Amino acid sequence: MRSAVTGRCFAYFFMIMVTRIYRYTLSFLPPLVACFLIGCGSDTPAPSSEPGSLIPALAHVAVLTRFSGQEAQDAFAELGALGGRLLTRTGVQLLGAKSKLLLDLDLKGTRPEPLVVTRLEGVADRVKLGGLAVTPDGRLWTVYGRTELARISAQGEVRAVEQLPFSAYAVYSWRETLLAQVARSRAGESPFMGRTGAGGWQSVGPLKTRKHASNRESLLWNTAHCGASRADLLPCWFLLGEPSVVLVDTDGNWTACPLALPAGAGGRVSDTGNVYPISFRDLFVSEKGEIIALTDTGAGDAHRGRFLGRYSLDGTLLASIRLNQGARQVLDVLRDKVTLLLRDDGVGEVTLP
Amino acid sequence: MMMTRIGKFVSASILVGTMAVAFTSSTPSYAGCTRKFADCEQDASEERTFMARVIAGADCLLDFAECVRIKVIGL
Repeated sequence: MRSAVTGRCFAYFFMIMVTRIYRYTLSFLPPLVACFLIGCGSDTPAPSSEPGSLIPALAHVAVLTRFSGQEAQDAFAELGALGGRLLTRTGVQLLGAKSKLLLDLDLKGTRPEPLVVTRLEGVADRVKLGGLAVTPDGRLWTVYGRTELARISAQGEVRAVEQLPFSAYAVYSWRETLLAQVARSRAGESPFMGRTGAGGWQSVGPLKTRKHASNRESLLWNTAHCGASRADLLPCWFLLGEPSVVLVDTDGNWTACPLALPAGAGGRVSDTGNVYPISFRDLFVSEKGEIIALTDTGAGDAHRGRFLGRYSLDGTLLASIRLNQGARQVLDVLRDKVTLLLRDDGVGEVTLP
Repeated sequence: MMMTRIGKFVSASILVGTMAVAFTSSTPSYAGCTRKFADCEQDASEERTFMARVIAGADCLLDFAECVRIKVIGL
């Protein structure tokens, strides 16, 4: 009788313990499952059986101290959205789209002052400046309010001098040619117009505007852009959709370059339910004739501008890294060092193997 | 029993927080561009003549596409 009672007590105690352990385990199960499904934010590269889908190694960007002073930080913060970029012999010039600011960065350390800030005059409020180009006579040009071509003097005075025969978002220079990125082109036409010397504007390049059901979709999908180059080829591409990159040579010949995004790279933008894939955020052709591509490592702010890839001109991915902080643009490439304009308003350098 | 409830509450909070962060940061919204576009369309619809409304509406579209362009390459 006594042993039966003891046995029941033990059984009862055992059941309670099992129930409690079970409940306790269950309470930890949901977060564990969530972690398993969406990842726990680890920076450790995940192993993969496919070489093409390997997540590249994490690389640390070294912030350049000569651009980290308070004055430089203020200038970068004030610059805001980028309107244009132009390579110089010793560095790069950056134009604010709305900030009326032109920054001249000496990246090679040949000037006593690494950063020269010019405040632009003659720009009406709410007018956007698009692109930054230079003609062989040394004059700087930009698109003023989408409909005019404006000259920027050495003193920073902006003067609209020519009505464009089309709406344009930006102007680029390539040797002796001015290239304008057309805001609205008909389906099947190039989104670029070119002009050499005193000649007229004409449609150039093999990129063709893709047809879409609505004007809004068509405008978004056909927004093109050109990067920068230290070699004889300038890269241009559609910002959204398939990464269709074309290269312009010094004779004005355009060739398509099959530059595929590796798995895991590339971002997304969403707009009222529609999701658009971002191809590249920036492309740069180095002196060695390699293409340096900046894009995202996924969707979301934390992934923006954190993938850097090095491609050969036939489109083969030679090396890639993940940056420990996001970048806005590739400013220059010297040997294996890539200089970046960082998202947190500084300039950094990273080694690309 | 009390410890179990606290444990459950903490776990649930972690789960809700994790899910919230995951879902809100997965797709960057360009609400700024869309909002400006909606305001611009509203202003365009108040133009006096039909042609003025059409031209203003076309400008809104170009502004919208430019806004997205700057978001992709300029920020």
